Amino acid sequence: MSVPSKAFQQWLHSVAPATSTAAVSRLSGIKRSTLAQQLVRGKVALVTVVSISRAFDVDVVGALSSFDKYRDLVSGFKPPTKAELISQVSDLDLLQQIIARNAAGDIHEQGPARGLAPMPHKSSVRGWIEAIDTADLRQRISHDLRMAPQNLSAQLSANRLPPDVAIQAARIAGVGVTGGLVVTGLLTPEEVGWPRDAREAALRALPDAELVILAATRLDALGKTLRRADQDNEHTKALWENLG
Amino acid sequence: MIAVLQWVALTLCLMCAAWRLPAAFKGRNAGLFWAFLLLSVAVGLSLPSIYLRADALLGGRNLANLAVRFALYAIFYILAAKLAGAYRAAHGQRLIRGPVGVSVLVLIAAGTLVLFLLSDLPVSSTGLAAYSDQPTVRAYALAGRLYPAYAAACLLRPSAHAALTAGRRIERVAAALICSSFAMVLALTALQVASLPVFLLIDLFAYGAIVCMAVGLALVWISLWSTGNGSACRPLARE
Repeated sequence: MSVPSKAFQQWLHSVAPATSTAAVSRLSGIKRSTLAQQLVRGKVALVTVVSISRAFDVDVVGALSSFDKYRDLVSGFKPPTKAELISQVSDLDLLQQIIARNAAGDIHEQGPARGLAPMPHKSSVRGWIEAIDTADLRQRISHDLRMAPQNLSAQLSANRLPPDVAIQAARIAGVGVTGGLVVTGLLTPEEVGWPRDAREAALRALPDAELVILAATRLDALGKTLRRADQDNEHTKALWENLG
Repeated sequence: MIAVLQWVALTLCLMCAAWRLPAAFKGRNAGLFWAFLLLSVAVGLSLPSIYLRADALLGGRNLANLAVRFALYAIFYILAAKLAGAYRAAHGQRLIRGPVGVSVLVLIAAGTLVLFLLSDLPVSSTGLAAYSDQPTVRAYALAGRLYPAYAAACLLRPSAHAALTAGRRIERVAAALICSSFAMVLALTALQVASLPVFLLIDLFAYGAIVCMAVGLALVWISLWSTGNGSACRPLARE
């Protein structure tokens, strides 16, 4: 999840040779105290590298892969699979697509009526993990990163995934290494070189039956989430009425 | 060490009562304010320096001890009823506020009063320690533990269930503290009924239970405050 400060300093020197730390934090929008603390603790967060790269107009993936741990970020690039792309279409966009196809009658010429919602959506992370799953992906992530399975599952439910876990998941599944960084929102699809409108194209190419079954699965999952939220609301209401 | 715990418990109860004061003025769950105010009085009266002075004002015949008993009954009734509602324990609520619960409370309160009047307590003594050789005083002490133990037994399961299933971590921790508070009340009653010579442990449980209850409820208030006064979140709404 982080790069060593020494390597970071070297990289920063190569990117912005004559810029003070204060100027770097101002330009990249990182709080000075945050940056200073990361440097002192010897662990600079990936998001810091990403923000600075963007501020100085440096290729973000190239910047990340200049650090030893992330060498394969450039070399490991693969275009996203169809399943990965479809997993990044939000539930509502899937439903819109069903309605659009129904209205148009001709399925193959009708693209999404409006642009798809920007990535990531509310269940991007879980959807992505399910899309690249190879039967034992979760166990292998827990094992490789010494992460308790319930922690991983809590992260997925919260639609979060630490960058290291996202990268390791992609390595295990054999998909493009940067995919996980896109679905967690750390990088944009353009930055990692996903083709433009790739999600739209994948969605257009999805056969009717698969589209409907996928939407049903997603709605089922959404229903479970909503039921849990309802229960939590109910619980909070009881607490509030009696103890608030 | 017990003295430290007593003062910590007293401070926490006073802080909780102060915290509830604005809400009590507005009429929101004023019972909680009274429960913590009474709890502060009860804990305060278990400290000899306060008990002896307060009892002197009441005539020096240990009426203050009787006041502590009745305060404890009121505290446990209020807290148990509120918590049964908060943890949606319909069964627990019936056992506390229903006819069974109220008759248990009235019976025990009447018994306490009778046993107090039957005892010979001419001089102030904190916790009636000087009279523990009288059978009526021992029965009186036991009766004083019965209602708290009954209320705690009714709430043990609902609070344990909430500690395991509540949605947010802070709510689970709060419920776990409240549950352990009830468990300590039950444990100390068991120790007292068995009349084992473990007075340090009994005091530890008694004041530990108060500290856990105060901290647990404070956590509930913090969690309610951070969710915006119990307003529901709507997951379908766009972010």
